[in-house]
Amino acid sequence: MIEITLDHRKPRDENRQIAYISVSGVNDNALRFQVGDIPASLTTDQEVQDHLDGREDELHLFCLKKTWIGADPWDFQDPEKSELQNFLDWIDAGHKNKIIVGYEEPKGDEETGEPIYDYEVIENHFYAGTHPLRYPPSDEALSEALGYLDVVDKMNYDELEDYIMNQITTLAKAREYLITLSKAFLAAVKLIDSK
Amino acid sequence: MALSDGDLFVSGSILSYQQANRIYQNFRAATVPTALQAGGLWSDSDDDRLWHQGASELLEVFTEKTTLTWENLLSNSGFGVWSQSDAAKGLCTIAYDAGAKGAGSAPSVGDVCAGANGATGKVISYTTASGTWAGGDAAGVLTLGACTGGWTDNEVLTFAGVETAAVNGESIGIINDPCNNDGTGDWTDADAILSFDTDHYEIASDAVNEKAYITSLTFTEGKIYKVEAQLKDGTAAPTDIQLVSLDGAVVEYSSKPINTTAAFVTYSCTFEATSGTDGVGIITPTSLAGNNIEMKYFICYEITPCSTGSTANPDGWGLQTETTDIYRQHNDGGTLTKDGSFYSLKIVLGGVYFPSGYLASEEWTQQFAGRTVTFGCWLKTSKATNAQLGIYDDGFNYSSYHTGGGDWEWIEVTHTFAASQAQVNFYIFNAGTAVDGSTIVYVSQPMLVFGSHIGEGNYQPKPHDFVYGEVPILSNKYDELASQSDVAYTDVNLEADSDARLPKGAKAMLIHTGIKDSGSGAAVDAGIFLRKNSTFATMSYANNVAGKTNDIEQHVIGIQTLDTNGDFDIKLEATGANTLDLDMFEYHGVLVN
Repeated sequence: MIEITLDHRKPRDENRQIAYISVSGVNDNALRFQVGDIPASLTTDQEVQDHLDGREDELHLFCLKKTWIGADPWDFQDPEKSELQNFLDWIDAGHKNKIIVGYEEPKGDEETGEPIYDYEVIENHFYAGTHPLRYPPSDEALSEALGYLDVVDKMNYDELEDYIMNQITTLAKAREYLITLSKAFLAAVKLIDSK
Repeated sequence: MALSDGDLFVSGSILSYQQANRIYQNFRAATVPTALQAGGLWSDSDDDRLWHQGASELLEVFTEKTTLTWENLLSNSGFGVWSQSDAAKGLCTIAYDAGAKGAGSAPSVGDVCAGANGATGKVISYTTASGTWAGGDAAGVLTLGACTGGWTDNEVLTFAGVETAAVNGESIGIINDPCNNDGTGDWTDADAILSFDTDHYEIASDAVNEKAYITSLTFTEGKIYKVEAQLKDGTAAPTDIQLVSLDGAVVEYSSKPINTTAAFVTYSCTFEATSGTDGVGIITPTSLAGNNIEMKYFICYEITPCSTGSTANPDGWGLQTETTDIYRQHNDGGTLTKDGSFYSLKIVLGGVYFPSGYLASEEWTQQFAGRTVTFGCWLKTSKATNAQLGIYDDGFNYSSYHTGGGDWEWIEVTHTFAASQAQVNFYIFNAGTAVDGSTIVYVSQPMLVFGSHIGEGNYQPKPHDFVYGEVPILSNKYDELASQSDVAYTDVNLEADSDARLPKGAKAMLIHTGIKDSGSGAAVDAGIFLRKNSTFATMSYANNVAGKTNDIEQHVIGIQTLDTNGDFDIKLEATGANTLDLDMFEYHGVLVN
């Protein structure tokens, strides 16, 4: 079982959106990568999260392919099993690829002899993913944070400090607020410079 | 037989080369003439060597035809590349009855045959085994090309909008299930559940990789077949249904994933039959969780590239008239194809000429000014005064006709051009229109050389012949293939993936791709990677978008060598799950020799 967490999402084209996700349960690392074909018709984070949960096997297989680079589990593929299950079976069997290392002497009128097989052990690779842990805030979170601008804009420093300390409940939330405040700060500097 | 003595004989000082040619033409024997003296000449009985009797009874070859080293000026002389082939390429044989002349007389070769259910084809030939068209009871067997689909029993056929007939039984060589009656008994559905409902089939599955298929079919190894099906969402709306070919219950080839929609849409896949191929069907790579999709029409038929309109084909060649109908003939071991070449050209109507597009350009015509050329090829037809060659330079210079004896005959024509001419072309004609197929002309191994003679058996293709397609050929499986994840190296059959527009056995290909990845800005490999095969794993072509701005398409044009079958391997790498889009995957040409 793996756990999929939606970190962020943004539009891709008229039919698709991109989900930035974290996946745990594959190995010791949390894998962070994109899913590039989320239907654009899913409009809330919860809808996207449900959609991703429904694709658990597919995303689990993707993670395995990224961490077992060079794997060739199709050698003993059982058509009655899913591709994911075949991959997991391959790992359980020692994650070995069947390779040809030579050929026997041709017999009779054979052009080539029977192949001689051996096995090559494939090692697990570190794969962190494609986006950093400090992912940008989601559109919804950013919109929420921007709503605070109207409030904080009217506060003095002490009021602002109190307000922030009262509002911060998680580190993730703090990061988003800090980004928002940084933007506000930069906007203020620009405004001052322009005058 | 001694004609002259002295060392000057062979230099031409005493006897001209033309006179030597006359000796060659007229003094022939199966063995060395008994009275031959030193300095004498004789020609052997198969006309390929002129011998000279040297001193001390030493025989030596004076001249020999087999030393021909002229280069073939014709590109695509194996007739393998057809980038502008008709989209409809089906071949079909139908038994018919109730043939009636309507407002006409009888169908003609090249007539469009339209079925009442919408499929069309063009008449190649037909028999009238009984009855007459005038009497409304003609019956026989009809051979069609350039077909768009299949026909069902008793379906009404209309020829050029005039004559009519009815299909009598199943189309021969075609699997055709219109799904509007319960024919599910012909299917194997041990996994997926196939059922009939009112006017369509429903395919349900409750596990991965379940399939429904028709088996125990006969295919010809190496030939190209197309499967078509009309599909739509049922209680399920899958995104990865695939049409497949099978060997028993084992899938051999699968189409690109099909994302069914709320309306019926025709989907297709093209595959090359192996020695084991005996079935076609549909697979559900992802479980439909007990739900279903709907199917309305399922068909499989052989295809071959063709040109039945005004579009020039094969690449480099042009059509003599707008009513020319030509097809690529698949190798049959020496009957309709000539030994020494895999394909032949089948001219049902009209003719072809070389080159297409350069007709009157001086860069083309000037290279022939004042020069002698010979144009030859193997022809096969069953009607006299029907098939011949022609060299055009402001007027036709014709070869002799094929005798019409039904066998392969080497025909050639030699012509010396004037100092200038407005146009230079090399034609292959079929003057016949017989409906029984006797006037069909098969063409093989055409050759054009500077010189006055080619001779049968001396064909050689143009060296290093890279045939550039007149138009891009889209990959069946990879063009516009969106939302891809990692895919390990997979073999691609170039002929099938090009919808038979490209030949077997090509040596290299020119390819153009345009791809993007929504996470390409990350430091992770992303792209498509091609190789010849797993043994010779040299990768010539790659389109790697790693480090590029996210989702910005990158185009790469390049060459990839091909394996001994003319195929290649492809690997996909995506930065994330379903992040890679292959927006464009085009073949632009192949090295055929």
